[in-house]
Parts: sequence; structure tokens; C-alpha cells
Amino acid sequence: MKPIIEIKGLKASVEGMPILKGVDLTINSGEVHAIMGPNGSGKSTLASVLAGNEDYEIEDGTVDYLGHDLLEMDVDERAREGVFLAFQYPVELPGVSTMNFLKQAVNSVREHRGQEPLGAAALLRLAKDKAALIELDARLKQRSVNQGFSGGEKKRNEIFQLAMLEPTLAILDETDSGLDIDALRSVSHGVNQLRNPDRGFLIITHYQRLLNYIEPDFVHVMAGGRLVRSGGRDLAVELEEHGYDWIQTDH
Amino acid sequence: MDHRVEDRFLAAYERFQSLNGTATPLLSLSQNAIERFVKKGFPKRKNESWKYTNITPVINRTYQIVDPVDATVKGLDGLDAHQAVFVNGRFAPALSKLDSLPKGVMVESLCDVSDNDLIQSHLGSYANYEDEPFTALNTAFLKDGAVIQVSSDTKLDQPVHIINRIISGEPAIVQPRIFIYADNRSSLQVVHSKEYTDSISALTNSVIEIYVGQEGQVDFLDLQIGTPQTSQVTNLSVYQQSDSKFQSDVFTFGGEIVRNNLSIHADAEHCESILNGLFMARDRTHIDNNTFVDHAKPNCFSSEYYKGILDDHAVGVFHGQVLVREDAQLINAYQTNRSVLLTDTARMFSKPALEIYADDVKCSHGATTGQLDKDGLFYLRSRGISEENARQLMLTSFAGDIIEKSPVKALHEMLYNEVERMLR
Repeated sequence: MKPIIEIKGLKASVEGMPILKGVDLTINSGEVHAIMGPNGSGKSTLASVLAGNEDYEIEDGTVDYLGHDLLEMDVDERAREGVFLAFQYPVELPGVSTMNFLKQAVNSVREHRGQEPLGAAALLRLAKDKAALIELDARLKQRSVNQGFSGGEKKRNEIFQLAMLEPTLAILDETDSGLDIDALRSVSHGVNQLRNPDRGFLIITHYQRLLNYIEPDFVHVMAGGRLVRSGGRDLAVELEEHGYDWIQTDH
Repeated sequence: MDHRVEDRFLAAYERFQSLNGTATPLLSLSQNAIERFVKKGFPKRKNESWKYTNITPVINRTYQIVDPVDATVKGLDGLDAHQAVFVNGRFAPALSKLDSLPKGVMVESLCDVSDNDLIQSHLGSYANYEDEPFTALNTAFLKDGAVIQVSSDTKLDQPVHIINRIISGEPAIVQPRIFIYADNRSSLQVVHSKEYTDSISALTNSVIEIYVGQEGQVDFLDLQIGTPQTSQVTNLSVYQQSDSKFQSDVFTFGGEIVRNNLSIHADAEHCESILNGLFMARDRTHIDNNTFVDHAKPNCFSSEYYKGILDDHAVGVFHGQVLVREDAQLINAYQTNRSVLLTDTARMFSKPALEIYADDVKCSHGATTGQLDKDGLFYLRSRGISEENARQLMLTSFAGDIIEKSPVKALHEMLYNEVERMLR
């Protein structure tokens, strides 16, 4: 077990407004961490900052990712190094064919890892296997990326891409929001299949519902831009029972 | 009024006619046209439909009317077609490949058929030289051109490719002419392209007339690849009979000034007219697409979809006019224009003009002009795709939308290659 990411004293702002006010978090290989917290606490900002969204200004702190300074890397470089963000709101790309997109993404990552790029047939086979894993309707691959997909289909497509790109650190930003129970179950099933000893997960969620399906090793509570409490799975249950108010009044 | 430029063209016209110019059967048409041209003069920017396009610098230059010379042609990658080649406007049988035309299809030189009844009664009756000075100029200098005639119930399995090869050491004006008559229940695809000598300076002024008979279908693909020294003016006029289908695909890649006037006269019921276009420009290229759909009869459908990518200081114009006449009920007419500006200095003028005099119609138009979608770019990059490849992927997809709609599938790959070349 080795650390994948070590976040120390991370502060970030958007348009001059501080959002993250000193976040400390270490995720080791094989671990699943969940961050819960009320709306506006900074959970999604943390995900965006780690993925490399340039709308956020880093004010202070360090992020070490497998011995590299993550904050110095461009968004595409981070992805090639194995950081994956499953978006809360996946972007529709009209006209961009899903297979063409996957080919470029998969081969960019493979090339970076010193692997041979996949040809069309091999890619199609891989896509077929991975789509089955998360019960993604195969016909969606014929369409433009996310275009006209339902909320559930978009989220499944995110996990499908996760499966295709095989990242070292997977960040799931409110993947459960807008999912009905069947979609939630199949997305969770997909994520559980993708858990392995070399991979770390950071799961951001407002509700503990998702954590019934994907059992985290650690649960953190974020409030006011900081992780204010950390614990095991029982912390999530506690939050479900008492809401977030008792956490906030504590601090 | 200062008509000096027009006078120069009039003098050239007189010289042209004194040296075996227009064939006798077409001479009166030519004379009417030059009269009309001199009277109207070249369009000025105060003319509403030329508001955004200043053609004056291009027509003020001195051009030679060039003679045909020995030449070769490259053709287009991927396209197997019946090929009709014109060198500096004159038919070049040695370069053409018309041996395998099916029965009922004729592809000929206008010189050879100018006294033919069909030409006598139709040529010049669809392309409006009364109001369109460039059409008048082309008609005045009538000499040669491509005549395609498809008999009723005849369908072509291969496209007809008309190549206008333009060769000159000096700045040249060439005025291609195409006449297509597709009789009832016939169908064909026509591809029109130009091949220039490297580094040539040229103005082409093309006039294309297309008649689509009842239940007929014509697809016309115009490929306009230009350089900062080539300007192209094209007037395409289409006349549709009942239950006919027409599709135009105009692909413009570069040029100095490019102006397309596309006019559809849907003069019978149940016509379907599809007008698609893709324009890509950089440097100081100026591309102006002007469309006019005249719905004269009920129960017709028209759809226009134009997309553009403008870089550097390029300017794009889309002016889409739709006229639904009083008795033309149950018309569906749609128009969309989307453009991406890659710099702060590129500009796009998009102007829909719907004139509707019938009350039971469905017409819509939409125009968007903007930068490349930032969120989309971030999404692609977050999957490991480099910024350059992500931009390329998004822009190629944006343009590919129009390529995919073109029925001439054999050219799709070549068109994608052109898009990529323009994005490099």
C-alpha cells in the first residue's frame, strides 16, 4: 500500500472567493474514500481542482501525486498520468463520435504509458467488454458523445470511460445525483468491479445512499472548505441519521 | 454615375464578339445580357444583399480573358465519376472521360449544342441576368460550358464531375457555365470543382442552371478551394417541378472573396429542397453565402444548414432569404447557421430574412456564432487528449456534421482531409 495522492493545506478560490480553505487528505492505493457534505461546502471544487480545471485559482498548499507536483500539470497531462474525473455534469459534444473520442482518449493514455495504440477492432472489443460491465446500452456508442443521453446514461458513460482508461486515481463527482435506483445499482456495480489494489477512489456525494452500494474505507465530512471530520463507514450512517447540521454547529 | 469598370468590360465584350465570341443561336441572349449588365453595373455595398461584401477591389483589377492551353487535371481523391473537363472555360474532350455514360444521359459542350431546342428554350431562363449583374456578365460572354441532359426515368449510378481547370501566368477571369436538365423521374449527382495553376491570380464567375423535372432528384456538390489570390462568384439557380428533390452542398475552403448566390424556385407542389454549406476561412478570406428559396406553391419543404469556422481576420456572411408566397400553404422551411470564431478578429454576419405571405406554414431560423465550447474542450482534455487534438476533434466534428449530410459519400474522406488542412 503506497500513497497515490497527498493533499496538504490546499486552498483554492474562484473569482476571488475562497472555496477551499485548507484541505488535507491522503489516499493510498486500494482505498476508497468518500467525501460528504452539504451543498456549497467545496466538495465539487476539490474534484475540479484535482482534475485541473483552470477556473479555480490555487492560493496555497501542495498536491503530490505519485511523486509529481499535480498542481503543475495541465489537465490532459494529469489524465494521461492516471487521474480520472467522472463529471457531475458530463458535457454533450454534438458531432463528436463516441468511438472516435474513445480512440483518441485511450490511445493518448496508452501512448503515454509506452503501450501500442489500439486499432479500431481491438478498441471495439475493449469497448464491448467494458460497456457490458456497467450495463451501458451498446447503441449509445453509435451516437455523439453524451448527446441526447438521459441523466442516467450520461453517468453510466462516465463510468464506462473510467473502465476504458483504467486510471490510478478515480474521482467520482456526485455520480449518484439524478440516478434512479436501477441506474444507481448498475453504476455502483461497475465501480465495485473496478476496485483493485493499485487504484484509489475519491467519491464525492451528498447522500449516503450511494455508500450502501459502494462501501468506502474512509468517510470524510467537508464543511466550509475543510474536511471537518473523518471516520469509517459508520460516519456516513451517522450523517444520514442526523443530517449535516450537528457537524456545522460543532465547528 | 461612374461606370468606368463596366465600360472596360463592355470594351472587352466588343472585342470578344468580334473574335468569334458567342455562337449565333445564343447571340441575342448575350446582347440582352450585356445591355442589362451595363445598365445595372456591378453591385455596390449600398445594395442590401451586398452590404457586407465589398467586391469592388476584385473587379477593379485588370484580368485577361485567357485561351485554352494544353493541360492536365488531378481530379478528386476517392471519386469515380464521369468527368467533363473545361480548360479556361473551353471543353477539353481529351481530358474528359465520358465513354461510359448510360443511355439517356448526355454530357456535352455548349458549343456543340447551342442550336438545340432545349438550350434555345431553357438556357438563361433560370439564371436571372435581369437583376444579377454577375449572371448578366457571364451570359454576355457565353461561349462554352457543360450541358448535362438526363432523359426521363434515367438514373445515374456514378456522379458527373465537372472540372474547371484554370491556367494562366497573368491575372485571369474565367466564367464557367453549367446547364443541367434532369427530366421527369431521373436522378443524378453532379460535382463541380476548380483546379488552378499554383499561385495564379484569378476571378471565376460561374453560372449554373438546374432544372429538376417531376419526381426528379439532383444533388449538386460545389467544391470551392481557394487561395488568397483567387476569388469566386457563383450563381446557382434551380427550378423544381412537382415532387422533385434537390440538394446543394457548398464546401468553401479559403479564397480571397467568395460569393455564392443560390436561388431555388420551388414552382410546384411537394418539392424538397436541401441547402447545406460549410465554409472555412483564415487570413483575410471573405466568404459570403446568399440563399434565396422561393416557395411559390403549397406543400413544400426546404431546409438550410450552413456552418462556418473563421480564423485570423476572416469574415463570413450568411444571408438566407425565404419567400413563402400567398397561396403557398403548408410549407415547412427551416434555416440554421452556426459559426465558430477562432480569434477575436474574425467576424460573422448572419442574417435570416423570412417573408411569409401564407398563413398555414412552419418556418424557423436559428443562428449562433461563438467561440469553441470551453467546457467541451476541458472535458476532452480531462480524458488525456492534448489541447491541440481536442480542438481539432471538436472542430472536425463541427464541420463533419455538414460533410456527413452530403450524399456524395465517395468524397467524404477528401472533404475531411481538407477540413484538417484548414485547421493546421
